[in-house]
Formats: sequence, structure tokens, C-alpha cells
Amino acid sequence: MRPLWLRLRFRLRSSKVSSIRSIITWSFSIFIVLVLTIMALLLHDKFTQAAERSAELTTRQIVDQVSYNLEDYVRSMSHLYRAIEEHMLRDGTWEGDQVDKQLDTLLSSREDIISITLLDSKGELLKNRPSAELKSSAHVTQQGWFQSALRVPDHLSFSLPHIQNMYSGPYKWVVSMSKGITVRQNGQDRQVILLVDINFKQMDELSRRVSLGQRGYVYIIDESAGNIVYHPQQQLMYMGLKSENIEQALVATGSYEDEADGQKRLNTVKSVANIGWKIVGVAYLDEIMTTRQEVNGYLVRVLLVVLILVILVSMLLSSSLTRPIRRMERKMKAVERGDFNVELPIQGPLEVERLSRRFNLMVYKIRTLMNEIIHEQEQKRRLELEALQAQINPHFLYNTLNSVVRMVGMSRNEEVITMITSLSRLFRISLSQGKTIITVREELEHAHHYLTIQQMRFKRKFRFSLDADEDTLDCLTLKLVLQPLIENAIVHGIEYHTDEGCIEIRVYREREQLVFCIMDNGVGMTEEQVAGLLHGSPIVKSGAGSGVAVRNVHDRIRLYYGEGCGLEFESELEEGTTVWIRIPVQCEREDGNKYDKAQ
Amino acid sequence: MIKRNEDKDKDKDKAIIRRMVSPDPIKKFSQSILCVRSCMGIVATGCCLFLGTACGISNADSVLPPPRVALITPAGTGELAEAIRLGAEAAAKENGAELLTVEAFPSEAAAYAPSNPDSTIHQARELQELSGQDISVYSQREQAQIRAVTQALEQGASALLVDPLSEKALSDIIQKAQTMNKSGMSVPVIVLNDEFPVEGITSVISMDNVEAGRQAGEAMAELLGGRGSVALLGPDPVNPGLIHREQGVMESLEQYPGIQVEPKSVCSTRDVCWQAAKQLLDQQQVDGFIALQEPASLGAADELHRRKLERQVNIVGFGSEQQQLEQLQEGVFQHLIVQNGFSAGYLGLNQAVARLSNQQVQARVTLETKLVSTDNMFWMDNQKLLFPFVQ
Repeated sequence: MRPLWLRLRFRLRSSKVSSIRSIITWSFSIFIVLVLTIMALLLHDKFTQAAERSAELTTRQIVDQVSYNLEDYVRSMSHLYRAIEEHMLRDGTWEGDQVDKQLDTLLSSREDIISITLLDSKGELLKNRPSAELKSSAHVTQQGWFQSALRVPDHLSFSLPHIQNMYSGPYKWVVSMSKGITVRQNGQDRQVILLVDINFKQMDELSRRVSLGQRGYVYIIDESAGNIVYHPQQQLMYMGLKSENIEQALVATGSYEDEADGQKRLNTVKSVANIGWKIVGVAYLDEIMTTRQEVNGYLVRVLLVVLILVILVSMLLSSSLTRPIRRMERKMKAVERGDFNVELPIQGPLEVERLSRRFNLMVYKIRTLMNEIIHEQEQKRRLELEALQAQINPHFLYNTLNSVVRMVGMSRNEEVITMITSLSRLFRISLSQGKTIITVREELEHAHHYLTIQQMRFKRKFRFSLDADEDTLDCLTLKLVLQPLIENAIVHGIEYHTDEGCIEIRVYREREQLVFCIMDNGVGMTEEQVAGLLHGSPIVKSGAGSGVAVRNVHDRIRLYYGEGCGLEFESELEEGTTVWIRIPVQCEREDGNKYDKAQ
Repeated sequence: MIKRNEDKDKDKDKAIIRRMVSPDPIKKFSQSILCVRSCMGIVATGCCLFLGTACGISNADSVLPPPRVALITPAGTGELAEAIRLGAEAAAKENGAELLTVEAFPSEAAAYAPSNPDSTIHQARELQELSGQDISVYSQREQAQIRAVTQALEQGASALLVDPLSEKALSDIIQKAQTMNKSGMSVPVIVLNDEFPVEGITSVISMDNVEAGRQAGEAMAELLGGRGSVALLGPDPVNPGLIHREQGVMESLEQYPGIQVEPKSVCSTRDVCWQAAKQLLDQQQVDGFIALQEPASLGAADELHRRKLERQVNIVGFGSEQQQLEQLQEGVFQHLIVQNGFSAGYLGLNQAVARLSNQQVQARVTLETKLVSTDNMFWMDNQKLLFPFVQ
């Protein structure tokens, strides 16, 4: 049990079935259907029992009714018989108009009396109404009613329905009421037999009209011998196509079930008083009560409908429950993508609210941490920048001071003054109160001073020009970007060049970019050299050459302005080199210096 | 009645639901209530759905309309036709089918219309016998029967039980049944009490005429003590049923060398048979008549009655009409071969239903015949056979 359960749980976990939605839907559905099924089963038994009982009751009532009607009819016929007996044999005589009249009155009052016959014990006709000739071929003395009247005198007996064949005319089914009566005539006792034949039609109709379901019927048997008195399908019984279990009906009281042609039937038995008959009501169970199968079918259909409803409702329910969770998931995905400015609305079920709060807190925490990290990174970057910038100075200072020393040694005071002045200016701009961002104007000034110094160092081996568009002067730029490149142009391009060098610096705007262009007519570089300039390890080395300064500039611009900015080279051997520095346009009016902190 | 009540209940349910769903003016309340209301709406719709389906479920049990089977007997006044109808009714009730009985005789029908199914009598035949008229003319009765079939088909009968008057009438009926149905399917035809060799019959319900003939022959031989002359009345060279009966009679009488069979006389109405019997009795000594059909037996009885020879000459007949039974009781007939009309109707309808529900159908169902005599005609089971209905 347990391992199975665990296995199941594992299965559930590992499948998609374990979503809250499906868990709710299915558990809900299974639970409700289970409850309904149990209810249905419990009700089912009760229901079928009740149905059986009520069916039995209905059948019983119908059979009782038929029995009552028959009894009533028999009773009224007995009365009639007595009345006939009265009128006929009152004075020991049956002759005379008086009697005839009375009998005719009785006959006309009841149309179901077919004939009244008075016979003596030898079967000779004494009198009959309506008057007719007795057929000799009828063999009266052999008829059942005659014999029973003789056998039990002074007792009114009813015969089974039979064909009356004593008179000519259409053959009719009759029930014969007969009685052996002792009449005193002329002081002598005389045995006579009074026969009243009543049409069986009335009883036949009484029994035929009964409906017990679609195919149900009643039949009547005679209690003494079990002869069939009435059966709607008597013909079929004679043909052997149908049979009734008469033995069982004879001994039974109340109801019993039997089976015929594979169909269950409910038989209800009731005796009819005074005549010795028994009524059996036959009802087919599948008609008078909904069978188990039908009930089952119905229940299954109901269960299906309920299941569909439950699934619908629980889907709605679970989706309304999981909607906030799914919303959360969306927000989390956004966070995954890197958008930390999300906030979950605090709403929905309590648990979801709590979760949302926690999530918001978490995101806030992450946000602050990120900011801290960014800040740190910037710090780091700034420090790096400063380190890089700081690398320039001592190197250059060393060179310049060397030159100054040389100049002093050559006592070229004018130049020394210019140089020292330029140098001090240079350094003032370099320092620029610790800012890393300066205007183009200042940068150009810085370049100018530097060029001146270098011109003096290299004994005017080159000339230079600075040319900036008016609208660029107030723009901001990272400081000390030109100087290393100029140094590069001088040291690598012009120093070993035989002709007079020329360095042209231009600043202009190109769309949203600010471009510094440094051209020299130096020795130029090979393509490999150009490619090697911006790649390779950015190890900071002090000392001249090896393009470290150039790398420096490139990396700083990249660090500060991001990708898409930096240096571009174009060079041809013996022709010269052109460098473009591209940075975004930022003017002094805007606060483009976000991360610059005054120190 | 009950159905109507159910409908009422359903309407009530609907009304309640309508009241549940109908919008109530709680719009001024807060959102939570709106939410609750929407839930209730869902629930209500659910209930609606549920009840609707429940009703649908309970209504889904309604059954198909019962199959309609039409019974067409020749002029339905005779006892046999009536017994057939009773049997068919009993079977219809048992199978849940609907029985249409179409009166196959014009209302201005002659009062005398013997409806023994074996009798193929009609005025046309009679006239033909007398004046040699062309046989192709339909008699009034045949026309009436064909009309009745047409009518039954128009009333949507899905199967026909027919006791045909003649071969021609039967083939006409079958042709109609195969073409006239509304649904375009051919209607099965079940033939009662006849053996006309016509194509397209679904099933034939009839007695074994050869066996019945044998029974009649045996009974006669017994009556005559194996000696005497026997005349056959009313054979018919064109009616296969009667041919078989004759065959049966001859087969059985061949066993008795002491019995000689007089030349048979063909006749098919009471009067013609009476004339035939008269001629026979005029010409020679006849100890027994075997009347192969009802009018023949009546005709023979008439002649014997006229000659006061009822006690001397035996008659064995076929049929169970009122008059024959009276004469049987009186001893004019010694024996009647009776067939069970009730079972013909019953079994015929069963075959029709079996055919309509695509079950096995017997192409031929043989009915039992019974030899009834003056002595045993009022025995209990014979009573039911001879007098099938209470009136």
C-alpha cells in the first residue's frame, strides 16, 4: 500500500498532472462522483425495493378490484336467481300467465340472462323462458351443471363457462347457475332443477378490460380442479404455445414471482367468494417497474452529466485560484529576463497575498543588491580609469622633464618657460579637480599644450593643427583621450620619419556622435599592426611604445561609454595613419556625468 | 394524463429556474456580492443544465412507434376470420405492435359472404362456371381486397397479413406491397391459409392440406367400416390448397380396397355443390361425402336434408362455421376438419414482427388441424377452438 502510494506520488510529481488546477479538478470530481455513486447505490436499492413494493401494491389493488367486481356481479346474479326461484316456484307451480309475466320482466330487466330452464330430475323440460325447443342432441343429463345440481341439492352452483347448446340459435358462452330444488306439488315432493344461464360476456369483459402494464392480464381458474375459467390467451394454451403455472396459483395466496419465456412476472392471487374461482393477475415486472438496468442506465447518465458539470465548475474554481499564481509566474519570468522593476499587486487569496508580499520584498532586496553591485562595479571602473590615467602622467612627466633638463642644459630659457608653462597647464587640465569628464575645449587645450611641449622636444620636427567645429567645443568628453594618440602619432609615426611630420586634429559631430580625428603623415602601419593595436592583453605597462597607451584610451572609452564607441584606425605604410575617436555627444548643459562624484 | 402532469412539473422547474436566473437589482452592492452572484449564476446555469439533461434523460427512454401490421381477410363476417383477428390481436398485444384491421368488403356487400379462406368462390367464378366468362376479370371481392391493401398501405402498414382470395389477387397485392410503401421499402406479405405459388411471399401460415385430406379420408373410412362408395365434393384444380387436400384424401382411401371413390365434382358455391350432390345421389349410391370446402359441405347437407338421408349418408367436411357446427351437433356431419384460425392470426403476426425486427422468419408455418366429431365438439378445449369468442 505504502510503496504504491509513494510510487503514485512520485508519478504525480513527475507528470503534468500535479498542477494545482488538475489536482483540484480531479480530486473534486473524483470526490463528488464517489459520493454520488455511493448515494446512488444506497438509493438504488431503496428505490428498487420501493418500486417493487409499489408495483406489487398496484397489482394487488387492481386484482382486488377485479375480484370485487366479479363478486359483486356473482352476488347480483345470485339475487337474480333467488328472485327467479321465488317467482317460479313460490306456489309449487310454474304454470300460469302470472309467472310468465314476471319471468319476462326479469329477463328484460337483465340482458345478460340468456335463458331460464326448469327441468325434472330425468332431464325432461318442464318450462323455459324464452320458450324454445330443447335440442335432443344437447344431452342435458350429461351436462356438468345438471349433475352438480343433482349431487348437491339446495345448493346454488356455478358452472365453468361453456357453450350453451340446448337451444338453436347462435352458440353462446354462458355460466350456468343451477340448483336442485325440492318442490311440494299436490302434496308430493318433487325434485326439479332450475337452470339460469347467464352470458359470460360480462365477466369476460370485466377480466379483459384489466390492464396491468402493457402486456399484463388477469386469468381466472376454478379453485377445485384448476380448470381455466377465463384466460385472454386460452387458445394459445390449447395450442401449447403458452402455459400457466396453475399448480402454483392454486396453492398460492398473495403474490409470488415466476418466470415465463425468460421474463419475470409478478402473479397476484385472489379468491372470488361464492363461486369458487381464483383470479390471478399477471404483471410483467419490466413494465410495471423500472428495472435495475434502466435505473443503472439513468444513474450512469446522471453521473456523467454531474461529472461534466463538476469538471466545469472545478475548472473555473481552480483557474480563479491559480490565476494569481500564474500572474506571479509571469512576473517571475520578467525578473528572469532581467526586469527587476516589477511589483505584484497585493490581492487574491490570503496565501497568494502573502506570497506576493514575500516576492515583492525579495525583488526589492535583489534590486538593492543589484544597485550595490552596480555601484561597486562603477567604483571599480573608476578606480581603474584613474589608475590608467595615472599611468600616463609619470611616464610623460619623465620624458618632459628629461627634455626640460636637456633644454636647461642647453640654456634655452624661453623654451623652458613655454614648456614648463604648458606642462603646468597640462597638469591642471589633467587633474581638473578630479573630474574624469571635461569639455572638448579643455581637452583640445590639453592636446595643444602637449603638442607644444612635444614640438619643442622634437625640435619642431612636425607641425600640427587643431580644428574643432564650434558646436563641439562645449561638448563633454572623457579626458586625456587625445594625448596618448598624439603621443603615438609622434613617437611611432613621425619620430622616425624623414620628412617634416604633420599632425592634424579635427573635432566634428557626426549625427549623434562626436568624432575626434587625428591624422599624421608618418610611417604608417601594416594591417597586422593595426589589428594588434586594439587586441591582445590590456596589460598596463609604463614606458613608451608598445601601443599600451592606445589600448588604454580604447579601453577607457569602452568602459565609460559602453560598446559601439572607441577607436578606429586607418593606416597605410609610408602614407600615415588616421585615428577616429567616436563617443556619444554629451553637452555640458545635460548632466551626462552620472557617475562622476566630486571628490 | 400522467404525461401531462410531468409536463407541468417540467414547466414548474423551468419557471423556478427562470426566477433563479432572472437578474435582480443588486447592482448597487459591492464587488464581492457581484462575484458571489456570478458564482450563483454558474451554479444556477449548472442546475439548469443538470435539470435539462435529467429531463432529457428521462425523455430519452421514449420508445419507437410500434410497428403497424395490417390484417386483411376476405369479407370479415365469418367465424374463422374473426378467430384470425383475435389471434393476431393477442400476438400484437404481446409484441407491442399495432394491428390494423381493414374491412376488405364493400359496405354494400351481399349478406351472404362465406369467408372460408379456402373458398375462392365469388360471383365471377360462378358466372364463369355457368357461362364460361373470362377469368381475368376481377370479382367484386377481389377488388375489395386489393382496395383494402391499398388503404392499409396508405395508413402506414409496415407488414401485411393477407388471406388472399385468389392467386391473381395475391400477386397484385404483393406487387402493391413492394412498390407502394411510403418509406420506399417493400412491405413484407404474410399469407394465411393459402398456398398460392406466388413469388415474393415472406411467410406462409397454413395447415398441411395433404395431412388434413388424409385425416378426412381416414375418418370416412372408419365411418364406413372400410366399405362403401365415397364422393368428393368441391375440389378445385386451380387452388393448390384444395389440390393437396384431394391428394391427401385419395392417398388415405387407397389403403382401403373396399372403398371406391366416385368421380369428383368440382363446385365452389353452396348452390352449385347442392346441385352436384343431387346429381350424384340421383345417379348412384353414395355412402359418404367428403366435402373439401365449406360451401360444398353445406350444399351436400342441404341435399341430404331434402332427401331425409342425414342418418344414412356420412359427411366429413372442412370448416367451422356456425351452420356447420349446428349440423355437426345434430349429426348431419359426422366429422369436421377444423383449423385453428386463432393460431393462424397469432403465428402470422409473430412472423411479421420477427421480419420487421430482422429476426429469423420461417418461410412456412404449418398449422395443426383437428378432427372434431359430434361427440367431442363440446369438450372444453374443442369449445375454445370452435367458438373462439365470447359474444
